[in-house]
Parts: sequence; C-alpha cells; structure tokens
Amino acid sequence: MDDLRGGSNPPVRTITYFALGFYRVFFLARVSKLSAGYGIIWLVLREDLVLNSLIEKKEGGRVTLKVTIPAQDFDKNYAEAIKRAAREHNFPGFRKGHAPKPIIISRLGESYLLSEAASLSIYMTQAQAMKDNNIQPIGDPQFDVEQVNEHEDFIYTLTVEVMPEINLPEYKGVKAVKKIRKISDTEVDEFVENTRKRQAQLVAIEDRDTVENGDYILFDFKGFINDEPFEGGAAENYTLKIGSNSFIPGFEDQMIGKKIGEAGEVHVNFPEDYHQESLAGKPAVFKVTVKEIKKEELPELDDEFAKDLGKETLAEFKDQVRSDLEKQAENAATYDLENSILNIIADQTEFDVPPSMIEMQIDSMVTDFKARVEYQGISWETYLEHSGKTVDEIKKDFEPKALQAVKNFFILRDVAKLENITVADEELDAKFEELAAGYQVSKEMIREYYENNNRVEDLRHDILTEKTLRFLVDNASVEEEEFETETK
Amino acid sequence: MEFVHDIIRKPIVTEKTVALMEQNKYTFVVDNRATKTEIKRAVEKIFNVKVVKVATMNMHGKLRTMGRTKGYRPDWKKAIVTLAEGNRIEILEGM
Repeated sequence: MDDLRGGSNPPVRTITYFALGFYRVFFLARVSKLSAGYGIIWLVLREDLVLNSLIEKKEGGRVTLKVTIPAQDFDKNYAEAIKRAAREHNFPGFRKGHAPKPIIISRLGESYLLSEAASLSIYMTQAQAMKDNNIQPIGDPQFDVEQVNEHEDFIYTLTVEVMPEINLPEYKGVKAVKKIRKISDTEVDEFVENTRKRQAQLVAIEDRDTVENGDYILFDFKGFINDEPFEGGAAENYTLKIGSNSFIPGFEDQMIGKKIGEAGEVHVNFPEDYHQESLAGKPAVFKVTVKEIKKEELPELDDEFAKDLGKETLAEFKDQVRSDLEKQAENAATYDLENSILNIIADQTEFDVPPSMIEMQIDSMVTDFKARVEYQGISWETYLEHSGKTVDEIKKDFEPKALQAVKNFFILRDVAKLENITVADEELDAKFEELAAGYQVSKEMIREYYENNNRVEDLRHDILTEKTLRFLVDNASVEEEEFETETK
Repeated sequence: MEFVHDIIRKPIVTEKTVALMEQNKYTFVVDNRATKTEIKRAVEKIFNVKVVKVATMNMHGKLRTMGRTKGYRPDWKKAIVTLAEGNRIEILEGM
C-alpha cells in the first residue's frame, strides 16, 4: 500500500483530498438542492408571479435591473423558507419539520430566514426578469438586496454582463491593400543553397593525415582522472568537428596536429562550472586515436541533386521552391489582409466589450505565452526574473490584443448572423478529411477524437470564422500590391 | 418559599406543550415542594396573568447507566397552569 503512494506524505495528501472532496460534495449538494427544490416551486409560482422589473442603468457592458416582487408573493417565499428551515434544523422537543413558526423565527433569527427567503425569491425570478428585458447574460449575475421585510415588497437589483449590441458599420466593400511579398531570384537561390547545405555529406580526406582546424574527425577516446577511467569519459568512432567547441575548452585545440593511427594524449581541466559536479574543476587526461579525417562536401548543384529531392531537373526544383515560397507569401498576405479588414471594421464599431470576456481572453493568452516560454526550456519564474516584469504587467501588455480579439469575435459572429453564413455537415466532414490527411490518420479517428473531447463545436466555429473571413475578403475592394524585401 | 423564581424553574416548550397553549394551558418545571396555590401565585406574579387552574404531577427521574453504575436522574414536579380566558404568555410561544 505504502509503496503506491510514491513518496508523498500520505496523511497530508489524504486530508487535502478529503477536505477538497467534502467541499465539492457540500457545494454540489447545496447547488443541486437549490436548483432541484426551487425548480418545483418555480413551476408552481411562475404563473401567478407578478414581476416588476426595469432596467436601471447600462454601462461598461453591464446592465443593472431592479426587480420588485409583490409582498404577497414574497410572503409565500418566506413561509417556504421557514418550512425549509424547519426540515433542515433540529429543535429539541419537536420532531423534524414540526416546529411552529414563532419557535423557528426566535431560534434561527429573523434576518437569517429573510435572507433565505430573499435568495429563494431571487433564484425564482432572475431568469424571468432577464427574459422580460431581453437580456442575454454572460456569466452569472450579481445580486444586491435593496429591501427585504415580511409583508413588504421585496426589491433587489441584478447586475450582469450582457452580450454587447453591435451596430456594424458597412462591412462590405472595405478598402484594403493586400501586400504580397515578391519572391526574388536571390531568395530562391538562397533556399536552394540551404537545402544543399543540409544535404552535405562527410567525405574522408585522402591526401593528408594531420588534423587541421575545421576538420571532421572520427576518433576513439578514453578519459582518465588520476589514472582512473571515469563514467562517460570514453567513446569509440566518435565524430567531432574541430573548432565547433562542442567539447570542453582546450580539447579540440590539442587535437590539431594529431596524425591518423597514432595514439596521442590530450590534457585538459574540466571547467569549474561543469554540469557534472563530480568532474568539475578536475584535470583529466584523454588517450585519443584518430581514425579518419573527413570534410564536409556539398552536393553538386545539378540535375542529380534535384533527383535526390524527387525532381527531374534542377530547373524544376527551383520552380518548385519558387512556387512554395510564393504560396507562403500569399498565405501571409491573406492573413494580413483579413486582419486589416477586421481592424478597419473594428475601428468603425463602437461597443462595450464585456470586461469578463477580455479578462478571460487575456488569461488564455498569458497561459499560451507561458506554455511557449516553457516549451523553449525556460521556466516561467526565470522568465519573469529576466524580463523584470510581473504577471500583472504581462497581462497588461496583452490587453490591447485581447480587446482586439474579443471585438473581432463579436464582429465575425454578427456578420455571420446577418449574412446567414452557416456550416453544413458536409463542410465539417471535409474539414475532418483535411485534418486526417494532415495527420495521416483515418478520418474516423479524427472525428472520434473531436467527438470524445467535445471539440466538434469548436471546429465548427473555426470553419464558420474561416468562411466569414473569406466572405469579408471577397466583398472587400482589395488592391493588390507587391513589395520586395531586401535579402539578408 | 420566598422567591417566585424558586418555585417556577423553567417552562417546557415541546410539540405537546405548544399544542396545549391553544387551550390556554402553559407547562412548567416547578420545585418539588411547591404547592398548587404557591404555583398559582408565582405564575400570576411573574407573567402578570390570571390563573384559574393548576394541575401538578410528580415525575420520576429516569434510570441512567454510566458504565456499570446505575443511577437515577432527580425527580421533578411538572405543573400545567390554565389561564383565564383572554390571558396569554406571549414570551413562551416563541421560545
């Protein structure tokens, strides 16, 4: 049993787990009791409930509603709250649920019962109140009780963030410039040259037997500290580029001048900050034998080279490279065009963006950013230290971007709605196929993955976004412009 | 007995006694030695009401076991006091 716990402190973990578990259960119980219990009354009372709700103010994407529930309806809820309390509490001398009202009031306190009745009333009426005022809420509303007394009207305010109403400007015929980067011959040549370097092969040098700087050598080595061999200090047929500084300092320099087949020695000191502590700062002797000296040989730039890459002639390969690069440039240009069109529309649109959505967007952007930093092998704490920024400052940096993203989201949503852009099942299917081809798995596997992770709707939304963007681009008056970048 | 609060020790508020209050009857734990007349006078004085009838009964202490020792709780006296019509002890109705 104990060995399964893997070294953590069992009591500590158990307590935490239980505490969490208890909290969750407790919380769920409360919530479900609320919704289940109130649901029934809801159905009974909703019919005759006279709701008087009006919009008090609207600002910053929030709406405040003032809701009044008539005294007689509130009294019903008060009675219900008392009944509920009788069932839930123990009163000595009385069976559960049989204690009379005055006893319950005097023992639990009037304010407690009134607040219970208030939350009961709020839960029963909030949805109706929002519906009456055509409010589409985002997230959960906040409530403030203004007046709560027995035999009096119950008044509360409800504040909630709403889906913004957008007055879209004319979004068709937006004037935008599509800037396509021109692919120059030098760029193509450079790409080919890089490919050539990647295809380079090591070829043994026949005409000399002494190691020079820049050579690739194939050699055996065996290291000793105080005449004792140490772990990781020996290898056979190891390939090392002299001058690449991949070995400890001094090693490569001493290899220069060694001859093929001759045993030699290299004397070095491990640096003080060597990552392996047992070796750091110690002098070591390596016995080395060079077996071969090689040099990098680039393949000839001819049809043969193209054939290795699956093309018939060099010209054909160059054409391929050019069209690939052009496609890349085209994609980048389209992306920029889409963004600039969206930005133009967004700049002409005034609306209150719900703060919580920006908050959420910022959070997800920061999480993304953090993941990217950590992907590069830098811990988040180190990054924060080096950049000298706090998390809050980083969040602030993302704010404009987040605002833009949320705005774009609403604009795209509304354009899609106005233009009746929808995603048909066939399109979803096609997307699955595309993804399947990309990952080289079957379409069914992709579909299953999305369905199991509840991601189908996300995908559908992605397609919708794509289509809407395409619509905007198609309907914009686009000017094409080519530009050149100076190659490095 | 000198002090009224020595006679009337505490009210009994249970489902049963709350039901009796409907009939203007209030129930108390009283001193074992208290007589009906003393109880009547005490209730009238404390609550400022008119008493028409007092019924008393001696209650035996219950048998309780603590480990292997057995013992009895103290005996006590219960009094059900009937008030004259129109009289109420409001404070007891919400205790």
